[in-house]
Amino acid sequence: MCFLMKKVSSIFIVDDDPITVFGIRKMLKPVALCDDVQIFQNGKEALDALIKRMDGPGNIPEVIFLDINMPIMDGWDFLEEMMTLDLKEKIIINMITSSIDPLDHQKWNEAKARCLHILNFKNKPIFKIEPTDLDYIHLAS
Amino acid sequence: MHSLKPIIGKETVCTRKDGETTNFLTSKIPLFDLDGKVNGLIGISMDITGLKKKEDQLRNLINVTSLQNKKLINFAHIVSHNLRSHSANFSMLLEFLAKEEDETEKERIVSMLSNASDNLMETLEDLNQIIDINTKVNLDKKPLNLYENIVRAQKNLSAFMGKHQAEVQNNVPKDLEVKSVPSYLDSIILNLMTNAVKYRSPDKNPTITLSARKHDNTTIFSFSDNGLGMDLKKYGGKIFGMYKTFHNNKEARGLGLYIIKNQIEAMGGSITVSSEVDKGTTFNVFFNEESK
Repeated sequence: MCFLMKKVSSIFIVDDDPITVFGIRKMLKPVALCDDVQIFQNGKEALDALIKRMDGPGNIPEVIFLDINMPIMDGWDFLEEMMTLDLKEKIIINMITSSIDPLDHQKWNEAKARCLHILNFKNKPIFKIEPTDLDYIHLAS
Repeated sequence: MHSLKPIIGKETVCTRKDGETTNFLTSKIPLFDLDGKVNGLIGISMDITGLKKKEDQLRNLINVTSLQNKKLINFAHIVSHNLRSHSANFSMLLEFLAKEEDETEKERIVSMLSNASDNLMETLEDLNQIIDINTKVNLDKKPLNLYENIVRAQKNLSAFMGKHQAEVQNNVPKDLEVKSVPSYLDSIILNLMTNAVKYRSPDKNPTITLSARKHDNTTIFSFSDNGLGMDLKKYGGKIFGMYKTFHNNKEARGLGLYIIKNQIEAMGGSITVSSEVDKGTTFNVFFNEESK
C-alpha cells in the first residue's frame, strides 16, 4: 500500500473561525508532514507575515488555506494583494468557504485566470484534504 | 397646426397661476375641404390628472416593493450563508467524532460541538432580532425629545464613556423633537455612541459631536467622532452589512450598524456615512417626520 505523507515546509491557515481551523489542522495530520503551520485571523495578518518572510527568515508557505469572509481583509482582498507580490514559487491556495453564492464561484474563476498560483475552491463542509490540495502535477515531468 | 398633421393622444401639462397642474390627453385633427384645404379643426382634450396621480402612486408602490424584494433576497443570502457555515462545522465535527478512537480527542471534539451549537444559537437570535424589526408593520412612532434621549444614553454609558475619557458635545437644540419608536431611538444613539468610542483613535481622547436640524419633513441627526475613521472607498458598500467588521477589535460583532440601519429604514428614514482615515467618522440619520 502506498500511503505517502507529503512533506510541506510551511502552511498558512487564514480563517477567523476556530472550529474550521481545528478541522483543517486535524485533517492535515494524516496527510502532511509540516513543522510550520501558521494560523491567521484575517487576510491582513497573513499578508503581513508573508511579506515579512519574503525578505526575512522563514519559508514562503507552499500551501495556504484561505477563508473568504473575514473581518478587516477578506479572502478576495488578500488574493488581490498577494498577486502584486513578487513571489518566485507557485503557492497552492485553497479557498474554503461555506458560501454557495454563485458570485463567489464566478469571482474564483476570474481570479484563477489571472493568478499565477494554483487556486482551488472548496465548499464546506470538508472531510478530508485531497492530495491536490497540497501538491500540483508538474506538467513538465 | 401649420404642418397639417394630426396630433393624436398627446400628453400635455397645464400649470395654472396658483401652481396647480392639470394633465391633458389631447388630440387635434385638421379638417380638409374637397380641395384639400384646411377649413377646420377638431380638438379633444381630456383631463387625465386623476389617472396620472394613480400612475404615480402605482410606480411608487412598485419602487417600494422592488426595494423590499431586494432586501428580502439579501436577507435570504445572509440566512443561508450563516446557517450553512454552522451546519458545515457540525457535519465536519460529527464526521471526526465518528472516526475518532482516542478518548481525550473525542472529548475535545464534543466541546467543539457544543461551541458550534452556541454559535448557532447566537446567530439565530441575531437573525430573529432583524426579522422582528422588519416585520413590525404598525410602528408606534412618538415625538421624542432628542436632546434628553442623548443625555439619558450618556448616563447609561457613563462607566464605559468615563473609562475611555470620552467627551460628548451635545449641540442638539433642547426643544427639538423627532418622531421615532422609543426603543429604536435608544438603540440608534447607544450604538453610534459606543461605536464612536470603540473605534477611537489611540492618540486622542474620543470626542463625539452631536447636532440636529429640521429640513422639510425630515430631521437630520448628525453624529461625528474624531476616531479611527475608515476607508469608505474600500468598505463603503459593506459598512452597514451584517457581520462586517473592519477593525481589529475583539468586541466587534458586526451587528450594530446593520440593526440600526434596519430600524431607521423601518421608520421610513435613512442613514448615511462619511469618513476619513485618522480624522473621524460622521453618521447622518434622517428621521422621517411623517407619521406613517
